[in-house]
Amino acid sequence: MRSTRTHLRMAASVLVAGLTLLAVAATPALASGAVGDTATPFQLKGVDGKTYSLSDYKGKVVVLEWINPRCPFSDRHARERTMTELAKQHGDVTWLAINSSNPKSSEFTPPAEHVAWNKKNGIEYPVLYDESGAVGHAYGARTTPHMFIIDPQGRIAYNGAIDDDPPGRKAKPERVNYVGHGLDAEKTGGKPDPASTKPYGCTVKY
Amino acid sequence: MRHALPTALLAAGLGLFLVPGRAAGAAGAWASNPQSRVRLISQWRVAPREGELRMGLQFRLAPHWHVYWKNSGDAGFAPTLIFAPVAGLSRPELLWPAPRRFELPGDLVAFGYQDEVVYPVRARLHGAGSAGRAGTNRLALLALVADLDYVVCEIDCVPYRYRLSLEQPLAPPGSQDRGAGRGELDPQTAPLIERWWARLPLPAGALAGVATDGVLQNGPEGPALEVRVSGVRAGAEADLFLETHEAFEAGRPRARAVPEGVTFHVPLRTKRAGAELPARTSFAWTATGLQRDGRTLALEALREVAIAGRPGADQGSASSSRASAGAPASWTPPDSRLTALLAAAALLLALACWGVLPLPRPARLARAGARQPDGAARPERPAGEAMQPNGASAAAALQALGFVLLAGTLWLLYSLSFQLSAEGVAAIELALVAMALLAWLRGRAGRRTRLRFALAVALAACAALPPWLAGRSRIGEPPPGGDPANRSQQGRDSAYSIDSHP
Repeated sequence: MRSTRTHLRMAASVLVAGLTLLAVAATPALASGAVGDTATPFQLKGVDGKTYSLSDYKGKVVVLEWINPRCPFSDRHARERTMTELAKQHGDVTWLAINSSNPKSSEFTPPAEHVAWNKKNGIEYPVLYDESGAVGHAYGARTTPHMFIIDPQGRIAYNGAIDDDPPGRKAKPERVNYVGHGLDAEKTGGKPDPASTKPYGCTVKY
Repeated sequence: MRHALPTALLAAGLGLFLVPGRAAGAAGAWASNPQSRVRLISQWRVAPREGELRMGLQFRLAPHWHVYWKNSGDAGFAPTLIFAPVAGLSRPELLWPAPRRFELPGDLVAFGYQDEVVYPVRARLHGAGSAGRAGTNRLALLALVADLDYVVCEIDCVPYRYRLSLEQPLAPPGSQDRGAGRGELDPQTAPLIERWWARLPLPAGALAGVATDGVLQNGPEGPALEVRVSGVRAGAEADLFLETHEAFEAGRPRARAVPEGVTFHVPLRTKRAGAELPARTSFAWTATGLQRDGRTLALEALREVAIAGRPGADQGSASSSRASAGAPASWTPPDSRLTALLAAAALLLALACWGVLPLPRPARLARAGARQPDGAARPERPAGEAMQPNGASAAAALQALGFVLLAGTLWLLYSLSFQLSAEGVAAIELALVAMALLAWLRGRAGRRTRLRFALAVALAACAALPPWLAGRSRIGEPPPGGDPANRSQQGRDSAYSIDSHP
């Protein structure tokens, strides 16, 4: 009899667990990273072997750039020095590039190769590995490049493309550099406008 | 200086590679790369001097590579085609055939075209080519030049830029000779362009009895757009594509067949955290894979939508509110195959609880406990007697659990109706009925071991049917093997060599 009750309990537990699993799995899979959201904290290892934590830059404006040397869009911007020049112009801003490529993907760039690519393109800011893709998913990073500006209060102030020229057809001065404008606005106490654009480029190779 | 000549030759060579050759006729020269080739085509071998000029931007893509729709999805970008102005020709407009969805690693999606696509290009001729040629009977040439930027992706993405050209012969002007002033269709390109022209989404309202509208919802899952298309049936490939919206990002739509047609439930995420839903906002969408009168069609619409329940929501389309009132509950199963499997398992357990199927030993003991040692039924418990945890109450509890499980089965079937076609749900229901019948027959088979075994095998096969059927009849996903048009295209592509340029 006790055994019967045990089986009844087990059956009920299995039923409840199954339904809970379904309900959890049914939660919409839309990532966060909306403008105004608190930036998800992270701690990642850089291609230089050092560990970087977002909390180290509390109170500063931080730019996050999703990057992939094997993506022609990241590579073009690296060759054109789009990000590096912007980072230099805004010396008080912390610039972190994140590579969320899955190490099993053919698109993954090993550290030595990454360092060489960074050097060739004058990238001096930290480039971090997010091998599990957890940080990329937390921010809803979809493309390389995909840019985020985090304000000194730790909130996402901009989410989107680097500029308005996906094909790279325009001369650099003719492009609207959304991140540049956003950083200028942050410097004067304003907010980036637009605060959100559609990013373009390769998919992040999760 | 010493290197000037080789450098010039190299530059010229590169120039030849990047600027495809000029070609007179209905098709320009291909611009080719390892992933794709592209050219301009026209429906006219000889175009008239007045009227609509239908052209196309034709891509042939290496297997598994795709180019993009006007909203590229999570990555890439839509092709841009900029024509140099030509006297007598209006500015050509690039049009967008109904796209398809590509699921990419990392839960990302792209919208576009695979294998082959001809983006229709529409322009209008008004006296083109008359300058310097008027009064002659010789064919004039309309020199079209366009700068194309596009990105072609598989898992990797490669951007390309070409200057495409097409020299379109024009009919002689002003003469009464045979064919003068009139155009002559090209037998190869005209049917191709027409085929892709037919794949352009129809403006909502272009077909009598077909309408589409939408409403914003703000449920516990967050905001969502509910789009209803009436006067059509949901084909297996029914899907909805939203154009980029300034305030929202769209999740995956869930199609559901309803008596009036089909509804699409699109979860939304505000691009600005904590932003309130606007009372009214505009969405542009393209609904594809719809069936009407035996043909597949796509509809496009730009609609101002309001929040459900707000005064003025869906002005002029009160039926839309009714559609949203009957919309699925906030819970929707994540995977139809898993849901179908659970439905089958719940029914089997219910049958076991009712004694139709053998239960594990303890449950059999419980049923046995409901009888007296001599086999006579236990006398009925006097009214008001407290329920004791004995064999009889356990057996009753088991039977009650059977009803709970049956309710669970029905609820899971209801949930499946949001994801599967009506035929699919009906087939799953039939499989479940067959399971119950086989289980009952097996119970009556007595000691005929072979028959019991055969029935058990049939029962197991029936239990495997629901998830299989669920996998085949999901709304919004192409059937295995794709549609016949795609299959024929795939056959062509398997023979297509990216190195064998014409």
